[in-house]
Amino acid sequence: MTRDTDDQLNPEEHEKLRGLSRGPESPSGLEQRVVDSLRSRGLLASRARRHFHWTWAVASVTAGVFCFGAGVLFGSRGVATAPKPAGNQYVLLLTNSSSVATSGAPQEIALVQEYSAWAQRQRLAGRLIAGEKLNDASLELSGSQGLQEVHTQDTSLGGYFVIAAPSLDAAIAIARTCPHLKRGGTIVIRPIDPTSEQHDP
Amino acid sequence: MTPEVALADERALAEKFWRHGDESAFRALYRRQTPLLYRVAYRMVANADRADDIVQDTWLRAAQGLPSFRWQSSLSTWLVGIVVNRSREEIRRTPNEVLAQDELPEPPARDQDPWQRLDLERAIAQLPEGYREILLLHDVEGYTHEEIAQALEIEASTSRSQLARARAAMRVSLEQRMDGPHDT
Repeated sequence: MTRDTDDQLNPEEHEKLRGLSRGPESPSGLEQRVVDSLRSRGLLASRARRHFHWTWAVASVTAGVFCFGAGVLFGSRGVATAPKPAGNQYVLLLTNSSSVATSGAPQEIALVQEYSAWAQRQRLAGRLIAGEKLNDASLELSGSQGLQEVHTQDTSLGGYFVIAAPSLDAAIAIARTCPHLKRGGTIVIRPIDPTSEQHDP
Repeated sequence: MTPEVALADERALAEKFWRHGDESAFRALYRRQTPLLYRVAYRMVANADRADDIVQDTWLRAAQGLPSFRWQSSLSTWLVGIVVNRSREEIRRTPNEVLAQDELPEPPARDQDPWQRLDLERAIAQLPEGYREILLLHDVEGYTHEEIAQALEIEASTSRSQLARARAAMRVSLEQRMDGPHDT
């Protein structure tokens, strides 16, 4: 082998080094792991949602909210102790909108953080009772027609929060602060009729 | 496919991916870019498991950063910048010296051509990190100094001077491998 005395590669060196670009190959399972990782962070649409990205967008937001909601707000991770929610209960139904739909996946990370911060504030203030993301799979059961599948585009409900508030006006005021509105979503507020189990002291 | 068409195609795929979370668009991008990213990561950290993690993190960062990517370089150049930065972080956390000797395959016997592939791999693995990344990108992957400058956010002149030092260091390492470790 001829060795260059300057910093130029001789043809043999050049060939050997360029030959390294033929390997090593990436592991075959890595692609799926990357896809799963992106999907778990809301950066890829799930298979069921792929054709209805507006639904997926809101769902990924609510998924993030409730990931934080369930894991941090109601979990046992040592966050600050919140007062027990008291008062009348209201369900906030989070529905989709076209403006939320146009968000790109990366922006949804910021959305999730915004929702999470809101949920955290409600929890620490003793106003948040529960929250869940709703799966896209919908079935409709009726006495006359039996069980029918409801197509994703026919449903706009992405998730819900259950909050406690002293009055409907107070519940509306809480809902007004939810970032879902600022992002173009709609919130349906429904009072929950009290039952003895719900309001046991 | 001309470079311009390829770039437009990549951009269309990237937008389809980040705007709509389109999995098929992402997989197409992944399959085009990952062989390069994995090679760079593997040779930067000399460990297959760590290279896996780096490539995975690279795609995650890329997915999050795509909206702010201005397309003033190719997607590949941008991704390479991410993978090199992520590799540097990994090396800070666990220096390669701890792992490299176990991870890399045994070199050939001393009477073989020192430019044999395995010896070459080891010589590259033993280069200082800054030299290694420039040599990998320029001499192995065929990047120009201007592209390296874009990817690593350095001056092209810095890339040139680093490459000269990297090549010199690699030659010294190969000569030492001939003369030293295999003498008994």
